[in-house]
Amino acid sequence: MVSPALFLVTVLIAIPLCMAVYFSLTDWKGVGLNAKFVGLKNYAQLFQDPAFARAAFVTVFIAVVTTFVLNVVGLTLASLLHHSGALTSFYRSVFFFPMVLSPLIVGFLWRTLLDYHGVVNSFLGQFGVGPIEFLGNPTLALWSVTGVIVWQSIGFNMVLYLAGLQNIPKSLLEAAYVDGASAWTAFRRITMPLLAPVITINVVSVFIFNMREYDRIRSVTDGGPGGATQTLAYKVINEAFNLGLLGRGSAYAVVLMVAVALVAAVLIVFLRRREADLT
Amino acid sequence: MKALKSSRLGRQLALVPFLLISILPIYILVISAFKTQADIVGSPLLLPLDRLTLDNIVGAVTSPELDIVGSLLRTIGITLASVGLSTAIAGMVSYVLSRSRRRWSVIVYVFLIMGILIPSQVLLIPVIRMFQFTHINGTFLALILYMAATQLPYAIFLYMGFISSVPRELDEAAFVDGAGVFTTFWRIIFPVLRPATAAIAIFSGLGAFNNFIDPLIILGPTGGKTITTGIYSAVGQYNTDYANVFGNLFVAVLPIMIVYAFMQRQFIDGLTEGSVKG
Repeated sequence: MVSPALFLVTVLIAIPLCMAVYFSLTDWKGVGLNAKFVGLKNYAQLFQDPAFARAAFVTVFIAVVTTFVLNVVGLTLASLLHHSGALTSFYRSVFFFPMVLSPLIVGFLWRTLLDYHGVVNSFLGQFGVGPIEFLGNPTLALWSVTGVIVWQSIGFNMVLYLAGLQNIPKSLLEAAYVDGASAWTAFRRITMPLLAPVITINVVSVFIFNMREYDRIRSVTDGGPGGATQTLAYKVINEAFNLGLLGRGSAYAVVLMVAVALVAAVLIVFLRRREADLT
Repeated sequence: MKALKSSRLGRQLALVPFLLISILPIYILVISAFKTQADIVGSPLLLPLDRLTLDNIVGAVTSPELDIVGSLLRTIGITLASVGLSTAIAGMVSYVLSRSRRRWSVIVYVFLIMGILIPSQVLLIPVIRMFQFTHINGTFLALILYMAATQLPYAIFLYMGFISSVPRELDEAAFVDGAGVFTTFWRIIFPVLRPATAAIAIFSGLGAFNNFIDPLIILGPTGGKTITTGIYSAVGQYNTDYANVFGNLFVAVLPIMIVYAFMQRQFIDGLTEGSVKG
């Protein structure tokens, strides 16, 4: 009963993981088996490569901004929805819908909408605004991709926060109001501490998930313009499968994996400690 | 009472802009699939009833790049096979681990769920090498095995949470009646776990259905297309023929739209329940 799981995880996760680390120490180019051991050379090159620094920046930018916005807006929407009565489940379904679509397809949808001659610019043009280079300007392109991720994922965080809010006993809040607490005080002193575990889940899952962003980058900007929106995950696939530099691609992969593991560990320890402080 | 009502109205009003941002892109996607290029750009939000066209849809349905019928069938097949495999395997192992009081079971558990943190891109390079070595690279078997393996960590993590709430008396009664572990799990425990299985299957299934990078790399250019790799070859190149793009995108999202219309609750619960419970 244990062996099928152990077999699949060992053969297709654990062993490949070790192989990835080994490949990252070679100059393997994918043709045949002529991989030469080169030690830390790939990593040394990586850390001197401006393209790596940029990919690391883009990855962190997307993870940080989406985590911040998704949590702030997600909690705001959840609070607005909390007492909507019969309409709540309608709103829930609408906000959640983009979440069930393929990120790749959502990316293509937005690439088309945000195109220089596209729908959004034609709409803005009616008010005398633009056209805006949503995807052609390096800085704007990064914000655009980040916005697309937020647009697609917001329903997920909203639903989690809504469930969290609905689990807070009404009597606690009523007691606070009876004692003369303002809405803000009640939110700070009762809602937030009781939501702390939900916040942890939201922050950690969004952060470590969006650190691997690939599909929407590929479809919205394909890493452009001029590499301005390439994430580490994009680099892994690009170096390994488009350029055939499997050694270097593996080095990117290992850096990404270590970063995800570190961030997850730090976030969980930090947020759990905060949960304890709040309660 | 009046203040309460007005604050309720204020909340509803505050939701409107968010609602519009959420709905409009989908609305535009749907209506543009039936509009001409000139109308898509000229009047993005309107549906000019006298100038509607089916050309975009016909073009998408007959497109050999998208190959919608074949892609849809292949995607459904891959999804069902990988999810069936991973939920069955995850259920069994979680049952044994959650009932075991030995120390090794914790070590095995951590080993099995560690994959949650590992991005698929990290594993793909070595996995392709292994598939080439065993001569199954580019086959559906390879893709299904890899997808099932990468679904396992989270499925096990979720199952463990659910199974620990199933009372031990249930399996002890079965043991007394002479049933083995295998029979006990499939006959007694698995039926009780149905809500958990549904949530896990929806979570894994949606991920598999929408997965792009795994079929792209493992099936390669000749191994048959899925919805995502099909749409990638149909509209992947930068394309200003918006009518064509919207037609393709609409056809590609239509199946999931229909399913969502009937199963919103299951989708929302399936995707979120796990993270709350875990």
